[in-house]
Amino acid sequence: MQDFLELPNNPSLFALSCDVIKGKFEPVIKAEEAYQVSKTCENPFRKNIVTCKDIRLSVFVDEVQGLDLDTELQTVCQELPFYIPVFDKNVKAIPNISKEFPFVALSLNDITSSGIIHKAGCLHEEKSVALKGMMLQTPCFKNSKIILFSSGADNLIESVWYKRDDIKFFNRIAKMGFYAATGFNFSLFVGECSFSHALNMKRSLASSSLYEQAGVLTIPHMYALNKFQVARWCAWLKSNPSVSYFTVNCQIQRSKQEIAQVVQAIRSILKSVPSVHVLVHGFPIDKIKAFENDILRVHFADMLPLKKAFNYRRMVFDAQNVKLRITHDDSVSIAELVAHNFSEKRMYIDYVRKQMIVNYKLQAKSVA
Amino acid sequence: MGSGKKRKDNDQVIIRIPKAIESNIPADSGEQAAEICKPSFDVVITNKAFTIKNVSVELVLIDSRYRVYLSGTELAKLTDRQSSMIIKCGELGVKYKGSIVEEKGETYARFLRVA
Repeated sequence: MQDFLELPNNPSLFALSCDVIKGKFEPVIKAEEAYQVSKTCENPFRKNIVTCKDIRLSVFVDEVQGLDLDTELQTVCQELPFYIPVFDKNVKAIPNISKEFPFVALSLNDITSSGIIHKAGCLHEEKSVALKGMMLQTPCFKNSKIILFSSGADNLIESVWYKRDDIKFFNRIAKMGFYAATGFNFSLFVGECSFSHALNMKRSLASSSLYEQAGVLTIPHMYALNKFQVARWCAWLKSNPSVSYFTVNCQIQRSKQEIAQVVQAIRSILKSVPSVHVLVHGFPIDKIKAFENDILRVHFADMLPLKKAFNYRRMVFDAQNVKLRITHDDSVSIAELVAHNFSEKRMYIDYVRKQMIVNYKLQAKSVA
Repeated sequence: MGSGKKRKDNDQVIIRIPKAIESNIPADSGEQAAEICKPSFDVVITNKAFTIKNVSVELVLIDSRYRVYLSGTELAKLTDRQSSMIIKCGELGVKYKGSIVEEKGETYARFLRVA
């Protein structure tokens, strides 16, 4: 199998002009990491990322107290279920399913009433960001523990991060009553400046720390695209033993290679840190077998059953073919479909997990 | 956004200098671009005779106002405000690339910021 975390043998021309390759950010960022750089680091307008060539580089590094992943977290989360439904902003149409699902989740996009707007085919940042402070008082959340996924479009997360002090973001989240919040999913894209990767990893960790300081339990968010980044996260997890969960937003990985890469990164972390579990958000459910014998340490969260229900689609777990079949159904209420779909999805995941465990046990026996 | 191989064209952002620190620092071209240059804008096509979906169009400055051209034919005029924005962004080094789109029964030239 291809090793997606391995770096190329030779640097590209763009890699040769990246300051990382000159060892400027050693020992935090290894010079070899720049071998992965395949796009120019010249980015005077700071489009999407802050690169090694940025004239304000030190300002961004100072903001997160250095690139080293040395931020400590004391968060202790209670045991999470293997499946967590994610709701969206249409909370009035969602039933209370807390008896079956004690944990539910929301995303940043759904608790903000402004911040970004879709115009002329693109997302535009708005001047201000408003939080729906009373959202968790809606009946569908009663008796539930609610996790906030601090994920969304770059326009939104960068805007919230930039304005966080103005809107007292972290304190307001604490007051809203979330059980826990994940670190921000600042982007890491293959081929972009290795400095930008390291900075975004640290920014994500810094956001978790700010949640913790505001009194919210936090689940750090971890992206890693190569073995060095994996090693940095593993070292951090080992020096923060109270952290038992990390999360990865998987909503945009859809190609085989992207999924293989994210699975490999997650499994590498799980292998190196046996005490830790992962909460994957939006992972394509037909690919869960990729986690192989780590499956019991992987927890899933998604909103697909909700989206299907809003389109009058009923999800039916077909145990014989181990599939989730989708049928049209407008004979029952949306609320009923929402509850049903989440339940079927959980049954499906439960079945596949159990099947996988039995298979791995059998395999282990036959090898012995 | 996430991690992967390709960023989405519709979710491009200019990273701002952290607020807690920026008051001591003069605005650089990135800050100015974030402030002035919209990520995208549409111009309604008035002359639809030569429009084909997804075809690239160009901007031509005539009498301090930009016009949308396709193969030498004028398709539409930008407003004074749009023209002024493009001039200011051009001075910073920010350009726009345009192409024809059709949405909700209307034809537009859609311009995306290329920073």
